[in-house]
Amino acid sequence: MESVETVLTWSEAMVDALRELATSTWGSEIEVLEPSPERFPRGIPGSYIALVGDHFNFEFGVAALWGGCESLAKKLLFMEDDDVLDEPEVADAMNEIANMIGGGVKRRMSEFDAGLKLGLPTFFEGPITPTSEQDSSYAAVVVEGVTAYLVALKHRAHSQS
Amino acid sequence: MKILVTDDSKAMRMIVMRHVRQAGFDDAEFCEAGNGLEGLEQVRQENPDLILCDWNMPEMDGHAFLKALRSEGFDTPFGFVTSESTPDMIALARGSGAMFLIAKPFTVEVFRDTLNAAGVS
Repeated sequence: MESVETVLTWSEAMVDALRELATSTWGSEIEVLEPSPERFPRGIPGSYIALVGDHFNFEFGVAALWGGCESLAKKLLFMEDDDVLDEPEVADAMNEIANMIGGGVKRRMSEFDAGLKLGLPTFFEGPITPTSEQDSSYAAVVVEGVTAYLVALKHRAHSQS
Repeated sequence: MKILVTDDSKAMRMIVMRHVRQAGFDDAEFCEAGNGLEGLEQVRQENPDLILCDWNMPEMDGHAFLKALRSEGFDTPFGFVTSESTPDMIALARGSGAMFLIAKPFTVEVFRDTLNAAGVS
């Protein structure tokens, strides 16, 4: 395991949290693709949630092309492929996936920061641009046949205070 | 049995109700609320037999909802269904009077075992 100070460690916790979600909810495994920032498409929709503590400050996101978001939402709701969901329903389901992943990261990492608090998720479509004060990590995974992208943004200044 | 499901996610409310039915409570009636304030109103109107509640919600979170319920004199059995599952949060839930905490993500078996262990029938 890398140092807890590195964003990669938290990104790995995120992947583990998604793995737990896939196993317990769908009885399936996820496939982790080679990490590469170039693999993360700019501007795709996703749900993001903050995890803020005494020593660490993060945003975590789960993103996919729109069809992938729809598919994950239907999987979460145990719906058929030809069932119809409207945009708010897809956003709601994606928010819940982000919420469960965020909770999983918090549980895995709380020993390093007992003050971690989970925020409320937000779904939006647009490019993610880390600031000069943020470290970022991206992981591409295949879950239930959908290629999804896990994003971790770590606020550097907060962690050094 | 009437069960109040309180969660700001409509998707999660549907999933919880599905899991409760599959856990052996297929004749349960459900009412729903999107946050603690709505939950309080539902309890006053519907007098449910059990409350299943998320922790992090806008307006009034699950912990504040539980405290408000008890301060109004309602002793309705209460369980959290939440992504908050650190030992500190579980201890806080127990200390506030929650019967159990089911961590998301969950399975039907977890619901069945937890509800049975809590004496819900």
